[in-house]
Amino acid sequence: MELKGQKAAREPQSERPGADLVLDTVGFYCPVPIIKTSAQIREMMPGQVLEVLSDDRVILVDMPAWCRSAGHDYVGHVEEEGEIHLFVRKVGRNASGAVREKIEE
Amino acid sequence: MKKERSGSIKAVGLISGGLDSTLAARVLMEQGIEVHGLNYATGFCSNAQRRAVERPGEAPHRLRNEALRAGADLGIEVEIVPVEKEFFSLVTHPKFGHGANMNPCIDCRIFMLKKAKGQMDALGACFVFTGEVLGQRPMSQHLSALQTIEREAGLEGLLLRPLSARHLPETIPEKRGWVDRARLLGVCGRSRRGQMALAEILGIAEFPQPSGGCCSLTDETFSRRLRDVLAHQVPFEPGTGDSVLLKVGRHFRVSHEVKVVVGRDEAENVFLARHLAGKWWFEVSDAGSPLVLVQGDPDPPLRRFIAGITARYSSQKGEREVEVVATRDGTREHLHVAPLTDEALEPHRI
Repeated sequence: MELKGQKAAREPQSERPGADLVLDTVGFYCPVPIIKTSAQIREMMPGQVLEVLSDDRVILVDMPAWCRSAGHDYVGHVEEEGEIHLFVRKVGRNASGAVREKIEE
Repeated sequence: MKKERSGSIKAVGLISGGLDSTLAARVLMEQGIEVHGLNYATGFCSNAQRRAVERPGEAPHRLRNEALRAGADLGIEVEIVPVEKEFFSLVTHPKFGHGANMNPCIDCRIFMLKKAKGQMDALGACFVFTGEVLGQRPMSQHLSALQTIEREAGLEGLLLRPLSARHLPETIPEKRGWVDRARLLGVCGRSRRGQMALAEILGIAEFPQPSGGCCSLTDETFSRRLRDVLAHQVPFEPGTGDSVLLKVGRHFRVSHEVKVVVGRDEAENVFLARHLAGKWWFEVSDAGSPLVLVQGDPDPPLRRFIAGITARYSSQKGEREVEVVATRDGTREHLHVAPLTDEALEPHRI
């Protein structure tokens, strides 16, 4: 069984998944692609898929890790003409149960 | 003082992905604390610079972002926050001074913790934590430094260091019973035996080996080159290729306005080749040659000098005369020069 967000990152998919939005991070150094992905995903609706373009091969390790950390689905990647296209599906998150104690002096 | 409380307690913590910050997060999570990780991208991460130079055969997992990996393993979100420009002004003018090199460790901690305090407030978290260990680092982790950092960051009583908490004054989270002090640790000093033992107990197997720091500002050569950049008012933007360039190649200051970077291997040549637009670059044709990138606008005599440097590091360094090609955009010059001697070159090395 494959756990959410833990799809093997190194093997490109044979078919390109559909995407709702494309984010081009080609030429940017780590961690900028992840920062941009995080900001873009925040603006999207749950269920939508973001396609991230990168030429940083280590993003194949970092993007699945970020998805696991942030709770989104890592759909997979394809490689085309030296660029990596990664696909991330936004997962709706429950509102945090954490409430800060209010301290009254 | 009165408190109202509902739901779980939330904390924000600085997560580097190293063993200490990972353990600190886990120790709190074991107590039911909801943890949100923060990682500030300063533009001086050695790992980011190693990634930019793609050396063949270097396993991608060795270059991964450890904070993200730790977040994934811990099952918590680690938010990477870009702070490069703001952080750079602190590097050049640190209130508490530099360490052995350009590392402003105390100011850096204060800066990040002030940011974390803002995040704590924004996220409705109760306190901030770090993986700092009393006595582990000479500049920023002795008792008075820890207290200064906490005070300057405006986090008095709200900064918990779970690994060394038993050696430190009780914090508000402990006093209020949000965190059980008895289940926090009393680690101190440079030995990592206690952390390694705890990692085994908690089943934490994945963490980077301590390597003496992942911040380029603690590196002597990088710091020397950064000082050179500042002294010669070279445009510098941290977090971009500018930072990486200070790590790559051999550097020579040939005049106040002109510096050259000599690629040391194919991977560095490939990296330098991405930065040629609008710049002079030199190489020896049809021979083993470094790519020599020039910052600044050298006049003809200086171009001959740079050609001599290029010849010195080529496979033809033993020849009396070497043909070096100097290129800038559409312009090409063929220069016939003798390879420079080490004696002539050494005073220019940065």
